[in-house]
Amino acid sequence: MEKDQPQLEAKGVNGRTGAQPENDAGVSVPLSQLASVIRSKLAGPFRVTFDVIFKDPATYERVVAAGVLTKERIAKLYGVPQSQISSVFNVPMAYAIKFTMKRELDPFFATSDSHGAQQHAPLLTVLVPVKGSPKARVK
Amino acid sequence: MEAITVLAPTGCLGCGWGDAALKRGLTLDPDVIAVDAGSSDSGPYYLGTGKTLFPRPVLKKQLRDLLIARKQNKIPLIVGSANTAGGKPHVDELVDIAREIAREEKHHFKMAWIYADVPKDRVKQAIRSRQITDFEAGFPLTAKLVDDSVGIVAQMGYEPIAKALDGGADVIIAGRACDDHAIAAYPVYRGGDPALSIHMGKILECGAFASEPFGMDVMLGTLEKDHFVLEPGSLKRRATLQAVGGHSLYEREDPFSIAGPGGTVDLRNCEYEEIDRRRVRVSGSKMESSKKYILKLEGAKRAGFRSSAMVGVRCPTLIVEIDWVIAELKRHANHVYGGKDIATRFLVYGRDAVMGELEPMRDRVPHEVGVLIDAAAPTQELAHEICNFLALELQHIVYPGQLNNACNVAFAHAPREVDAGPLYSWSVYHLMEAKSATEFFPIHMDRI
Repeated sequence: MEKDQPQLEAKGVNGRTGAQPENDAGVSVPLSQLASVIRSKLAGPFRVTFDVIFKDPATYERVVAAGVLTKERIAKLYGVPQSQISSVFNVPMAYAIKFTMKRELDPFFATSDSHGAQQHAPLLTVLVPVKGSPKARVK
Repeated sequence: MEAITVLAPTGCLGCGWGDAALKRGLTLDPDVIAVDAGSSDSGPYYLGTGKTLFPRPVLKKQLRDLLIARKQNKIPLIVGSANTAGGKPHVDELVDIAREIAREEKHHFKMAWIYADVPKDRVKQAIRSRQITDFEAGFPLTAKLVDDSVGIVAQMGYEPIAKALDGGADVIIAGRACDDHAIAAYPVYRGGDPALSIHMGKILECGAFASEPFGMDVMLGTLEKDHFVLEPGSLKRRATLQAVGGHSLYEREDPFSIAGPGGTVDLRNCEYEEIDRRRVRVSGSKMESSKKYILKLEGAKRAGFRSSAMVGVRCPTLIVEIDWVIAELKRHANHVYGGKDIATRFLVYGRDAVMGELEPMRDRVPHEVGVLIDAAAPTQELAHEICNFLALELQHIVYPGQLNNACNVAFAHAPREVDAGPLYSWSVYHLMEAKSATEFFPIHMDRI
């Protein structure tokens, strides 16, 4: 692991890095502040797969524990029925949360994003609560 | 077993690599150069037309560099999924390019080329005997869809390529192939563990994507008896735990397994270890062989012709009425051209063109939008006419709240329409049971 890796605690209390107050007086930070990679890409023509990769295991475990990227939350974020989300994986070996969405293709024009590479943007602003005792919430 | 080193110059032939990285990679004594050259990401157009995503001079320059490297190091060169789609015209063109280079460079080698086309009658027979299942297309494969298809290819496993190596091929141009299997073929041919070879192939097929910083560049994998080691060609890149682990997520749904024609590689018990600053060792990949040999088929059918025009809108009075205007234009087009198997599409860039219904911010009013107008019709002439009609209507339509009555849109180009040629859709994306791993992949050999 790199020495200069950003620490979650430092970001959570540092206004410059985008920490935002939550309704219940806790602190939330957007995923863009916690992840090193947020991307979408085709997994075959009929699936778009989304990867959110964190820099270290601790951040990964806290975001998993926060439950912000569940099938239900993802479906709500994208305004699709849960049945359109074909899978959600927590991937400890890559410190990543991964989910995949089905897509239909227009019979003439197919899609406006052939590689499915620009569907990840709404994930950047998903808020993750960071205050409290994160360890207690990790299974 | 001796260590076997595979050099993958890039993630896709056509994307290129760093010359210094290739030069350094070649000093590490690779046993083979293997590169993927195809993808379905750009859609069925390339399979349908026989064309290639990259211009011929680009492919020629890169193939020339690889053929020179091959000769210099006296090692085989394997190219999988020739020219984007891996159909017969794609294989033939890359073989032609290789012959041209051989003449110019005065190279002599034994070349094998392997087609991956599946005869339509064979697919229809498989439909009748219920040996076809939908993979992810969401529709069943019918005899009509097979008949309507321009080309149908199957993704070959490592077996046909290994067979060509066994026949003494120095250069192999393979049609549509599983990316990972094309890279794995040589190590498996030399007696390497298939699960480790395929897992290593899966990482190498993307070139230096699994390194930091990532890039379309040279990556090497060395297979030993019970593990493999990854190292980028460029000293400026490092294979790291996170880059290698993260790669298992890339462009596929299940990060814990790699499904292929002869079975599935289970990655659940893999171990990753950084052996120094730039190299990662991987072990624990296990093969679960399947009883049947299942191939993935891809087919394209023509869906008409397209003409397109891009216009800009800056006036806020039109931006707020754009959906009403688009509905009116679609109605007009259907009135004038309806019943002729036509389709129109408007993408509003700056608002929701990229994400459509998935866009959470589509209700936000932008200060400027680009409107891409697409028309599809059974002939190019009709598509052109409809596109012209839509652009003209948009230019002059009267809408509620309008203040400017000169012209509604900004044209950046004359002519405003671009006639784009044929449109294709995926007609086949299904799994088919094959009689053997080599049923559909005839090998041709020639001494150059």
